[in-house]
Amino acid sequence: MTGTTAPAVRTEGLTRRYGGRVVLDDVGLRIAPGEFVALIGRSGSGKSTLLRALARLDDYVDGSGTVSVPDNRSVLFQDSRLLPWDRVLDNVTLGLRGPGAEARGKAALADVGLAGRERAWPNALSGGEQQRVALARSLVREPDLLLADEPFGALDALTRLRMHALLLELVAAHRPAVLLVTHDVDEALALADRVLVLEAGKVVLDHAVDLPRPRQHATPELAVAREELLRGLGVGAGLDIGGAREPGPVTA
Amino acid sequence: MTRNLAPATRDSGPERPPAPPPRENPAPGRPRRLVPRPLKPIGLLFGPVVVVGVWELAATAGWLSPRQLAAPSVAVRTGAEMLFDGELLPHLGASAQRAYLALAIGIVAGLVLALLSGLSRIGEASIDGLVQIKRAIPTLALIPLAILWLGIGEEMKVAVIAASVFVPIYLNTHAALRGIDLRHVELARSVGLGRAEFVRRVALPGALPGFFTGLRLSVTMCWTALVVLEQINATEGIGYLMTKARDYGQTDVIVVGLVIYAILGLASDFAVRLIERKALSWRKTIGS
Repeated sequence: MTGTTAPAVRTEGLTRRYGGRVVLDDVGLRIAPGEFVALIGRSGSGKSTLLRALARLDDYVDGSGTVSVPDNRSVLFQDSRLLPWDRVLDNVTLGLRGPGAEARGKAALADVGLAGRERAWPNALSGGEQQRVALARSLVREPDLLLADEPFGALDALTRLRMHALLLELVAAHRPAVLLVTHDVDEALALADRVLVLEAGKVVLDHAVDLPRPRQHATPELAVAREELLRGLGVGAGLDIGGAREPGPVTA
Repeated sequence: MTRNLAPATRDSGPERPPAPPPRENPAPGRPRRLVPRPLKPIGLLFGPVVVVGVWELAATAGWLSPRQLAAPSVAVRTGAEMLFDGELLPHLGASAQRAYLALAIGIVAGLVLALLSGLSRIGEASIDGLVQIKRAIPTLALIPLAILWLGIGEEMKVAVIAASVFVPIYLNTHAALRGIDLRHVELARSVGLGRAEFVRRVALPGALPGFFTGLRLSVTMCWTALVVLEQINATEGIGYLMTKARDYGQTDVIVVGLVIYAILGLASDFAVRLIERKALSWRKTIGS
């Protein structure tokens, strides 16, 4: 998947400190154009710090290293972060310039299944719908890089599965490079081409997931990958974490 | 007040015996209310109506001498007479003109200062301290200086009212601007908004609720300040009318003046609330 073209994201010796504590420790990251990378790690492992560095939203943070990211990038936050005083369509087209912005916004809303809700207030939408509006806002810019910070963390399990499918579909259509931060191993394995495990500010595991999508949840290959990732996260092997041959319930 | 003590008889089936006298739990299956039911708007009139009733009673029974306080019925008659013989309206017009001119100046001043102070560091450094000091000084204490500077005419009255009215507008708008959600600032950066666009799309709409809070305070305040000022060298205005009535001992005219102030204050507040509800219709609040 990683060809010879220049990577979309490239960091060298990326280090970030909060009050003397090293949160990111010399991270060198490459993401190819159109590649979907998931970043997992426990709370405090530095996932969000890395994402914010790539989003260039961390200018007051102490640190060193270089970050090279495309100018045309979008951030999908954990909360939908809609402006409550703007109608749905105005939220989607926020900051979008040029003629046809409105038409593009409407098309993006239709893509996430919210055609006809252009004039609704964000407060009148459900949590899942709000996050779909946020997704439309991220993708209407046709970004070269989509940075998603646990975007489905606050959604219920069923809505989350639907959002996974939607995200894959839209990413396949727009082909941005994606960095998805999550603490959910299953989510990472369901979506990503490559899963990185971050531990104490370092990438300790880089696992390519060469499986066709949509991925069945209980295949042996996924179970092996899952176990390896969980071991990388420091969750000991031997723990019953949903066996390989069990066709167990979806625990996304 | 209208609590039904034995609702069980209504919704219980025939198999149930007649409801026993309720003690701890008034009705099984119907939870006890911990908060009162919402009051209909007309319910707010209950207190005022009782007071006016007692007042009228005291006056007709002769406990209240007209020299101390005229009966409400007398005041109503006086008010109607003053209205129909054309005495009242010019005074009302003069007062309204002063109040609303001063209010308009105060709104513009408060808003401009709040924006300067809320959106720039140098603005905050130069403005905020001064306004806080101004806030600590009672408006009425400014009257002597204002008279020396501006005389005893209209300019002085309008200036003093405007000087007190701008403070709540400034304070509330400024606080709302300072309290802008940092997550929205981050969003604005991530979608690449410029400074002007950020102010227009994020900062101002976010500060609007604060502005309206200030406006409601200011609208009633401008009438309050008027009372005192219209007792200084005025030849028309509600305050002038009342001062004159005091000299002649006409308590009914004084009551008429008080009622007019109350009506104007309430009507202005109501108008602002209507505008507010329209402008902030995106908010899903319990009160709306």
